[in-house]
This record gives sequence, C-alpha cells and structure tokens, in this order.
Amino acid sequence: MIKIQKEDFSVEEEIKKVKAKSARIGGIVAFLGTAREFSRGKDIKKLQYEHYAGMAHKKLEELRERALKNFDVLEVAIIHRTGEIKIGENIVLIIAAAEHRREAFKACEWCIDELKRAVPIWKKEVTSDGEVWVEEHA
Amino acid sequence: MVTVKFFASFREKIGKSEIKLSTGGETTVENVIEALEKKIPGLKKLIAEGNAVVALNEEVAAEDAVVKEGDEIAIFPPVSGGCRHD
Repeated sequence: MIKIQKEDFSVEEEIKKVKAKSARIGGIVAFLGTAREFSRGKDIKKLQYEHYAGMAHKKLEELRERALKNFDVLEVAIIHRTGEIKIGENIVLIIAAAEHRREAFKACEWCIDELKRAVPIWKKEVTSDGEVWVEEHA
Repeated sequence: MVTVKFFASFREKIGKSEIKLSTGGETTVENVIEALEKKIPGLKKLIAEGNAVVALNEEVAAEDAVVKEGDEIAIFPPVSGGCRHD
C-alpha cells in the first residue's frame, strides 16, 4: 500500500483497493495534494520531484506501520509521485480507513505531516524567474 | 569502499549524484566528511549552511556513527515532499 511512482494515480481506484482490505471499514479519509499555480509570490510553471529511492520507500513503509500501530485504523495507503508534475496534477495521496471517522482523520493528518518531515523527497519549483529547490524544513 | 550519494540542491551544487570513497576499514561519518572535503572543497560549509541531513544505510546518522566497508552514506538538504500550505 506504499508507492512512489512517476505516473498519475486514480483516487477512486486507490480508495477501492483500501476498501477491499476489510469489511469492518466504516470511514475513509483521503488527503490529496495537488500542484498549485502560485506559491511564495511566484507563478509556478511546473514541479520537479526527486527522491532517495531506497530510503524513501523504507521511510514510507515505516510511516504506514506506525500509523497502523498508533491509531485505530484498519488500512493506510500512501502514494507519492516523482519526476515532473504539471500544474493541477496529483502529487500525493494518503488514504486512512477505520471503523469510525475520527481515527481515520487523525491518522491521515499525522501521515502527511510525518511524510513532509521525514521522507527524503524534494521539490523543485520551476517558475518564470528560474528554478528553486524548496527546502523549508530547516 | 563507501558510497556517498547527494540529492536535490546538494547534487546540483556538487555536480555529482554519487561518489565512491576508499576508507581503509572502519571509520566514522565525521571522518568520511573530512575525507570528502578534500575531494569536494566547500562541502562542509554546504553541510553546515544547508542544514544537511546525513543518512547512513538509509537511516539518519550522527557524526560519530560507525561506517563500515560497503556502507552507503547520503547527504541531502531538509526534505520537502508533499505540497506547501496544504
């Protein structure tokens, strides 16, 4: 349920896969991050994502395991795209499924926060003024 | 031999994504960085100013972590996956 891929994904398809994991699921929360046109006062043309393949997979898998352990959720799926991403396209999808909505919301939010903190994936913004790596978590 | 990988802005500034280094047996992350500085002058400054993260075999490592033959080190800037202000 962890994927790092160049290709786009279907939110509906991914939710369907999560749903198929357990008949006990009663609430699913999905977070979808998409590429925005305007960031930090600049018009963005496109985004370029780079990742440290081995470590990024390992950290995403750990993240999922921790979410399953720390929250009362039945399944967690995480997909992050890499390479070139155009404005409006999907970047990241987190799906948390639980018996009840509250734990699904909590797990989903925790996952995206942790992903941004600890998974070695970097974003470069290509703007009309040039290219800039976003390394804000200093 | 130890493999050292660079990512994102560090990779671009250094102009390499990977470098192999002969360590002559067991050493530390700190010593590897000292040895690298000779090959890549300015690396230590980049690490300090860029708030670099150093990983050893895919886990964040301290300067005194023991590096063995065949290990993989990665030096990279703070991560920025996902999307901003979301």
